[in-house]
Amino acid sequence: MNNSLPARTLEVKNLSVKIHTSHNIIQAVNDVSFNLQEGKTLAIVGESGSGKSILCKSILRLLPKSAVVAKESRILFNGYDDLSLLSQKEFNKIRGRNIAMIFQDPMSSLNPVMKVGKQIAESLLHHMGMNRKQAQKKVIGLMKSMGIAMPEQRFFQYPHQLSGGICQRVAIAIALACNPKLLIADEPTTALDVTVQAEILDLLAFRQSQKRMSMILITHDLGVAIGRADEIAVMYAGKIVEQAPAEELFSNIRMPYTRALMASIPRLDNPPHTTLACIDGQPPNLARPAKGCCFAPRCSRAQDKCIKEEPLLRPGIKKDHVFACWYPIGEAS
Amino acid sequence: MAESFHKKIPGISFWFSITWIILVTTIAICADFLPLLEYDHMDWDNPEASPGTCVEKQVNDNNGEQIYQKKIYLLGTDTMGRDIFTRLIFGTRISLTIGLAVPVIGLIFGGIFGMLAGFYRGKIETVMMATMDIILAFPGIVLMLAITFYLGPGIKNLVIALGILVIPAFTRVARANTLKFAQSEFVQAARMMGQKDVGIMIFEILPNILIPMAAYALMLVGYMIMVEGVLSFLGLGVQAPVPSWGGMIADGKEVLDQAPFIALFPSFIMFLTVLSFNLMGDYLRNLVDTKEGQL
Repeated sequence: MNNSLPARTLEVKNLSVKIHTSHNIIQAVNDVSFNLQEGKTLAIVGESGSGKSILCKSILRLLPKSAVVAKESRILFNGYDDLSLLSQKEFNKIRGRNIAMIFQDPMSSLNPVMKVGKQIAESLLHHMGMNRKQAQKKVIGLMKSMGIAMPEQRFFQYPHQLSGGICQRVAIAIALACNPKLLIADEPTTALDVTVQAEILDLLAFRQSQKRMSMILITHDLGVAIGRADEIAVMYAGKIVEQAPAEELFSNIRMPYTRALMASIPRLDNPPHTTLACIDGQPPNLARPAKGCCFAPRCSRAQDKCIKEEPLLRPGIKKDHVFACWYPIGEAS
Repeated sequence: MAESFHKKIPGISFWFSITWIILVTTIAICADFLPLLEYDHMDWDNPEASPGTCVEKQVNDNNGEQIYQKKIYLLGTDTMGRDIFTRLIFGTRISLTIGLAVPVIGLIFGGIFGMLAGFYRGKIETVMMATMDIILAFPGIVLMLAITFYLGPGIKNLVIALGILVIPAFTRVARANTLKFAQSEFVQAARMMGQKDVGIMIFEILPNILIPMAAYALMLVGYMIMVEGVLSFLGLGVQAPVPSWGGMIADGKEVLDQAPFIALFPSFIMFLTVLSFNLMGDYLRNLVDTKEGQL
């Protein structure tokens, strides 16, 4: 895949999202920019509340009404100049058709009172202008390719009659029904157990290579991200703090936060009763952003400069490896 | 109550109610074709005749010949000598029309208002809910009196007035349930798939809120039949000689000491019908386990 022309599927520029609550304003996403090339996977990694879901929902305009996207934000999707300038009607033609999303909990992302087959067929009827018979045929084929056994029977079942793994396969079938160019997977395996997790991720990877689809994989599991993604962006407090190709990031972590995340993955070769490594302190309060580096209060390498001045994303020795740190790991401080 | 709470398999009460409702509805529809006496024929020779009275009468037929006509007053006659059995059956029409039409009006309008309020929130919700609160705070009986006074009594006006009075309750049920589903992930998923707002409301939210709303509507059917009775009792209902259960009870109250059956028969029929609708509503509510007190 590497020898193909690097066509950009998605380009996000200076995306900022503020959420207005009754008490204060939360800067959920702060000046995030990234590119995604055709057929590639970008993993966005971060702890809960780091703004990764809000980031993706703002691409699809699924934000709650209290959230406001900053004016200077630009979202460029292939062919379309700026998604945020499109009218609601035009945008409805794109989402579902060209950009689709998979949600965290398959049980709650399916309508409990609608047969799953009908739910998959809906977007085919809506976007592809198929009639019911064609759609049903297509849906059964789609369900089969998702690894759902007995699709003819599953077609007429309700979500509560299916297991979590099958529900997530149905949700993926819904998302992939119209062959989108970009798939956003918002922690698609968090609600599933580990063996099913691997199956679902394999399925996504297979479909992706088949259809040359780009994917944004949101996860809080750095292990999953390294294994599955081409590029990894680490988010902290609404900002991207480190971004690099997967192998590069794995072998050459620069940002102390990423290292702390990595260290908190339990390892099989640890001796029994090893204390689980965790990151001390609390995630920062996004309502009152700090002046300096937002990770500084929890960082073991923090110095005076970290508290006073905010580090900007800058490339290190390699150009495609950017990080926001004054005293990165591997550089003499 | 505790027993019926866990019961999801239809029991005897369910079958009793559904049989009774079907029976009453069929009779109301077919009343014109049944071999019944006229509901407004007054037999001044036999007022307050006890149930089962059999009378034979000399009448002139079309050719001027005198023939004997035999009449059986199965459930007796009322104070004006009208057959109670016939009047009960024709009264079913009025009671069922009001009992069914009013909740349907509430279901449609309340459903639409509540879904809009719960889905869009903001100003629409504020205006809508304030209007509903005003209607709720308005004394119902005064509205009924005003409407009967200006538009005249009659079943149509009665249905409109009662319909307006029940819309707020339906709006609240619909809004509460819509609020629950409007934030859910499957609604977001539908929006992600390019579904429009109207589509989301009709295909995603409506099927989910329909059963709790239908359960409430069924409970209201029984209540409305009773309300019609009360209004007819007060003289606000349908006008004589058209029979309604409430009007019959009102007629019977004057002679409760001499001929108690005149008021008791319609009361009993009303009791059975209201009970049946309530049991059906209970059953439907247990089915979806919707908690009471969503108002």
